[in-house]
Amino acid sequence: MLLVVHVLLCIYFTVTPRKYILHASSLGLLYHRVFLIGPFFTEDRIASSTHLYMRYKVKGGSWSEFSCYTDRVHREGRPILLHYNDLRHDDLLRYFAKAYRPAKTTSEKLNAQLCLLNRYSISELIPKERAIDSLNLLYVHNSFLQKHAIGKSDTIWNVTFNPDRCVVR
Amino acid sequence: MLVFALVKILFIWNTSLTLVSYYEFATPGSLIGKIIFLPSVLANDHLNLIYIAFMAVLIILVILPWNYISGILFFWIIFNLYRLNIPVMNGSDNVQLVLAGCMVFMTVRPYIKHSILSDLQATSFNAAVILAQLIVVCIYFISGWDKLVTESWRTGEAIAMIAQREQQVGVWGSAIVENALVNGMLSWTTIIFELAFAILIWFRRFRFPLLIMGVMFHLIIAFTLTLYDFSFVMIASYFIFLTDEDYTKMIRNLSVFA
Repeated sequence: MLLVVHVLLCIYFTVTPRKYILHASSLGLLYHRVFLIGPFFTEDRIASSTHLYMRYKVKGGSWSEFSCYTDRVHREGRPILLHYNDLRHDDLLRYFAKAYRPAKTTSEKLNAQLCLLNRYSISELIPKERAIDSLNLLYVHNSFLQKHAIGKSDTIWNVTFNPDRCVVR
Repeated sequence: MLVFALVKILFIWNTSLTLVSYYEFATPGSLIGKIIFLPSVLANDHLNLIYIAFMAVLIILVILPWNYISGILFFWIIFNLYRLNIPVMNGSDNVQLVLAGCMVFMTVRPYIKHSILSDLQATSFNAAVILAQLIVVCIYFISGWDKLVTESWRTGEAIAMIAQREQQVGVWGSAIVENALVNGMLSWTTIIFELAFAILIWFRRFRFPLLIMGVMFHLIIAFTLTLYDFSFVMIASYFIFLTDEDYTKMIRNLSVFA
């Protein structure tokens, strides 16, 4: 009996839209988190992605080219162990970028997010011998419009700062 | 699943080291919280030791017969691994965590002799197995259903969009999906496989062919879409669909082959 109810609930929570009854209840949350994992490769997730572009200025020098760690990782054909490691680092970078909210830089916590991103960029992504004067991070949302076969980019935030101070200019 | 967890620790080790150098896991206030999250808290300063301990315990669990203590220890490790690496966790880790929860009850060791408790033990074992099977089946059903009701999946455009996203497709993956007919075929093959799996896996006649197709399906997406851990956890989850008879046959065949 319990099994039948469980299967029926699984079908109900799968085939009905989220606005329907029970979806927002504790039972609905339990089902969506534990018993109904997915769906994977939903349209909104495959049609868009976020990228963090980064460039730096060496003391007394000029700006470097913009580089994107995500692009680099997916273009390089490294052995599986190294590639997996790169992919997880890419996830970590996106996590830091997503957590940062430049509009609320007065908040100590959010400033800390930028410093975290800065520390990660400096230590993991920029050659260690470079003395960095300024860092420019550009967080972009890319979406692909299949009907027109074109890609569209929107800047989410663009911030330039002195990495030594970790203060937004 | 234990072997998958061992491999996962090896693969995620370096990322975890980076992660703990930026984040500090706060010590929970309650005593229960302190016990549950003890490895995560200790990992702030001693990640290498914690991971070595995790691996040692997992190796012991592989060797020893599965029992309730093994199940609880395994779930505890997976839960802490999940908590510790939350920023880089994905769907495969959710699957692993939920299945690890079911595995706590997938044992009859130590065997309880009391008649009522013994029945309860057998019932909890069977319920855990069926629940785990349903979770795996639902992953396919919900994914297949979502694709079926999405226009871009029905037309095959979704495959082209995946190809467009360079971070989703490997170099040779993108070369395959430039043709619209191929896109449509790939798209419908995925939809039909996912929905068929959810229904046909319960029929003895279709079980083995479906599992073999599933292994191939996941190996393909592992290397074309670089979804290594999701693919391998799904392949590992297939063992839940094998009966005692299947295991006996497999062991017999392997020993003959050896």
